[in-house]
Amino acid sequence: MPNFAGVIPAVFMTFPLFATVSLIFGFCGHFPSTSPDVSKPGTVITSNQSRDERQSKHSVSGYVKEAGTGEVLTGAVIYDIKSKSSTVSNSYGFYSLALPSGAHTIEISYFGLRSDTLTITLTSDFRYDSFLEERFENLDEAKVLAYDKKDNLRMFGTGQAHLNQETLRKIPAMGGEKDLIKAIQLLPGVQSTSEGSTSFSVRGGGLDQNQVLLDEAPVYNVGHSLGFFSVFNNDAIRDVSIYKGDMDAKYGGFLSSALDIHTKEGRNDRFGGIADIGLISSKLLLEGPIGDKVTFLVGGRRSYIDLFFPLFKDLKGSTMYFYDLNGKINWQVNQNNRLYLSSFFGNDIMGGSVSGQDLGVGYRNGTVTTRWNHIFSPRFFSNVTGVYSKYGYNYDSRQEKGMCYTWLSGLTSYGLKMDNTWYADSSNSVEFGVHGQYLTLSPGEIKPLDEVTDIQHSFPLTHAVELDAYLQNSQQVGSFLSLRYGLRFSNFMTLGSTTQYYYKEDHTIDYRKKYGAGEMISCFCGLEPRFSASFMLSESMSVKAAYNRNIQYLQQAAYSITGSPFEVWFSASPNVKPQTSNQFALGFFKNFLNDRLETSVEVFYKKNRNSIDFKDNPEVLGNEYLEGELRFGNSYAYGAEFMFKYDISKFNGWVAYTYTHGKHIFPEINGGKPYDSPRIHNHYLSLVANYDINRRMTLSASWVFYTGCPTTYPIASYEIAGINVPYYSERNSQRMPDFHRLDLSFILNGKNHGRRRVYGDWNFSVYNAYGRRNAWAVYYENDEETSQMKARMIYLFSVIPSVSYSLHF
Amino acid sequence: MRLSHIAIFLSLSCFLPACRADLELDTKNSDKTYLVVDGMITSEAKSHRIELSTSYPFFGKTSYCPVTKAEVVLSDGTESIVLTQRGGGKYFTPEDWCGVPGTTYTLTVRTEQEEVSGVYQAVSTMPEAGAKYTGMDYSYDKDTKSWRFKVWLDDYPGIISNYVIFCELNGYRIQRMFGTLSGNSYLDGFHMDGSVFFTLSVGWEGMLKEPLKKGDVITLYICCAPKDYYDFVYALSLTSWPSVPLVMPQPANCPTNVNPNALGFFSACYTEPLSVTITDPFKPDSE
Repeated sequence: MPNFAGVIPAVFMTFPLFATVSLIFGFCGHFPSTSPDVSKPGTVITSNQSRDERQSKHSVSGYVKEAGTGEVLTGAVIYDIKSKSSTVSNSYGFYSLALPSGAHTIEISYFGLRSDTLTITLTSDFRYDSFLEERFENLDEAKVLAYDKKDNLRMFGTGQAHLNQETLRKIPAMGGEKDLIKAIQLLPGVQSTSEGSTSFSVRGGGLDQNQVLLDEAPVYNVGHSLGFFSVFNNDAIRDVSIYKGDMDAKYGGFLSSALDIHTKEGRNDRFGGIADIGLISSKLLLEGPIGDKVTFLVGGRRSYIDLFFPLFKDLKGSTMYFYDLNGKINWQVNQNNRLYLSSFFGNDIMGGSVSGQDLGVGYRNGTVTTRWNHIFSPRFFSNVTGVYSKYGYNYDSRQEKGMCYTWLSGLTSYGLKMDNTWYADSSNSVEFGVHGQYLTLSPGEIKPLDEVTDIQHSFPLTHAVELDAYLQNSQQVGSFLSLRYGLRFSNFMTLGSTTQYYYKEDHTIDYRKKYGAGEMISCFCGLEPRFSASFMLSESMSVKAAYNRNIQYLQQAAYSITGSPFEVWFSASPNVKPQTSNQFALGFFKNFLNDRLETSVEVFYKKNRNSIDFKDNPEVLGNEYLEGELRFGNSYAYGAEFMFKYDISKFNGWVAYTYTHGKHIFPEINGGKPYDSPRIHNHYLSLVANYDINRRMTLSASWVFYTGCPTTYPIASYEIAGINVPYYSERNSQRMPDFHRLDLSFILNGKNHGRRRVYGDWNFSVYNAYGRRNAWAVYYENDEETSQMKARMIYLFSVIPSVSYSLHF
Repeated sequence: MRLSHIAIFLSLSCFLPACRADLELDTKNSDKTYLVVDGMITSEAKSHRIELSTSYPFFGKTSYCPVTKAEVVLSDGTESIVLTQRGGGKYFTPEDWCGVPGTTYTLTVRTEQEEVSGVYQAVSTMPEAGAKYTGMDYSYDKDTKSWRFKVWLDDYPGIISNYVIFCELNGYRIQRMFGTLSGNSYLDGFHMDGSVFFTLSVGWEGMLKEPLKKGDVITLYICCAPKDYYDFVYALSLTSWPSVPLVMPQPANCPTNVNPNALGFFSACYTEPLSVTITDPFKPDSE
């Protein structure tokens, strides 16, 4: 077997060049498996394939998968009882644990599944793929094993959370439409912007500061139906992880968080699927094997709210629906090589007639990911990914002939990256990689929709290349201290061919310059150090600290009050500097009751430089001088997060409270005075409670309370040309009314849930159970009786009962 | 594109279950009163009007309060004219007075009126002509029960103009018929060859209180405006947007060029009004 320890220094020497790839290939042969086909949990194995007694450390490595479906499991804990060494399976389910020669008992556990115990006498590297079975009867046993590893205490850094299908399934949802974005909004530090919105703010950050990755492809708009439902089909999702500032060095380009979503790979044991019928949409997901080595998954969803439009006079002739498609093919070439191809496409279509004018609005997302996992050795895992992502929207206007046109805007990116993990020894695992991305931003294009209309114009495109490289080591120092330290280097260039506008200090156009294809317009680069530490104070208590620096080259200025699919992305340019953030976080974690109660307190402070915001009354649509509408400044946020997570007998869930304070300081906005950061709720409380009545029935509730986000109210009025004009207070000096809402759900699993091939689950839910009228928007109107202005609010939803049925086959 | 239409459309089609209710806000009115200037002079020979008033509490009885007995002086740097007060808070230039493109005008207001007493100034430079104004015609569309107005106009290439547009019926401004056409380079040199420029109908959105009748005169002003006045009118137009947060920008004050610490705007714009007299209120489209 080749010794890859000798290869790594050479890799670093060429790092971050893409030449690394060929170098590794040149040295590496195929890693032969030494393990038998182990698929039964708890099997006792004695390894005797290699007897190199000079080696005192060996690796136990392989994949952790769900028994039956064969889905890989991210975040499974692999724990050696003897040495108390542990590791966690990566995003692809791979793990590697270096252990000394001798007898070991290794437990492999994952929440909600039965643990697997491997007893082994280790004399050489050993490959073991673990298959964890679903728990049915002995529910308590599974929980104990899953929690015994104290992963919440040991896990690196602060501000990380992982949700799996089981958790997502239980959380009540509007119209029964399970939604992972709504679920993460119940976690500490993550805030919904407003009622029903899929936009979210993390630790006082902007809505644009969240990196959303679907199978590693960036998703630039996460909302269907103008943001009321997320674009992610819950049935197709395997797991989701959120990193709230304390990010692995492999994540970058966004300041506040990384939301890493992985879709299922398709079951490998048989053909199957899920059919859902709900109030909002219907879904169908099919999955299964193609031969021995290939699995597939294909899923689709379509909403049908527009079917009810004919019942309303005003909406006759209007249309509004969305659909999305997920697809994935997974090819297990051999034990050391896997290939994936996954794709997602979502589309929203709306149309109607207003004042004799036919209007249409549409926006669409598309991603394609190709991935190659390769195990070079038991200690060296590599992943190469190519991604494509496109987001675009359009407004169509059809009046009479000659006045029919469409406005198009969008963003396209192509990326290639290589991520490697070298499990150097039992104390160190080194991750390194390179990312490259090519971006094209189209701020706007007007096109005629008939042959007579004489309107056509394209605003200059922005072409950009981003190149990143990172190196990170996770180190165990003794049995109590865990360290992770890394460095990320990022480089961002805007290129021709395009016409670049340059602005004067007063933000009016100065001059424009044409650049040829590939000609560099601007170039930015920076170092982003990452550090985190976790110190076990006792078996049930730990303290963690983290420092992160992030640079964001692609950002949005907040235009609409709630965030909308029509926000414009700005790249770093001669006029817009990249935004930087320095975040410090400290956390204290304590478990009780044999780890069934997990509590934590985390505090954070972050300071952002080169933030952007729109000037007062910006002109956005159709404005070719859009960068001239921007203003620049700094912002900061600090806060505290409290988490109380419990899993006692039949009760489980959590209580999360976050206090956040954030300010923007822009010399040219609000007279230079600091103002509250938009869309931040000072107090945000969420309660999630699940009660497993028995194996078939689960009762769930979630309650959310938050103080209103900052807003600006009028304090005086005046008249211009007969128009009553409001005069406003200082920006964001007031608050919207407080918000609270209770959602309930009752899940009735079919008698044969999980046991037989075909079974059905019912989900009954009530959104906004006590009918709270939460203000979504505030407006003012003249009261004809008193001739006085009065405030009124728009609230979106009252009590919404719903029922959905899922058929698993 | 009419953004307001999009907003209305969105509010109609997307927020089906949306409901409305009264709301008690924990806010209070400003304890300060401001002078408000609403004035525009143009290149058209006529008596131009500057209107002065004060701000008033937002949450309270609507009470327009004119500023009277003020001294209002218009100066081009060499000559000054004193405007004459006619009616409450309205001050007029002499008849047939017209502004000259390229000239910078200063408006000075001296007032002793309680709460706003003081001396205020605003400066505006009149742009050059940005277009050739040829004509306007109308027709009645019985399907939509609206009057459609076509315009013939050629924007001069090479001159980037910011247009402020308003409309008068028999010499009185039609409320809310007040808009902008941006000075983007892609509109440079555009021409309108009888394109429908705007429509009028009866009702709040239609802007007419009663149907047009024979003899009515519709006058359209497509003014070449200074950029700061264009920004002011654009901000003004946002106040009439529907309350749909998805498309509604952060609330913000309209800019002002009246100092110190006043509201409103004084501007000097170039324009050649386009007028049409209604001869047959239900004249069909000739095409």
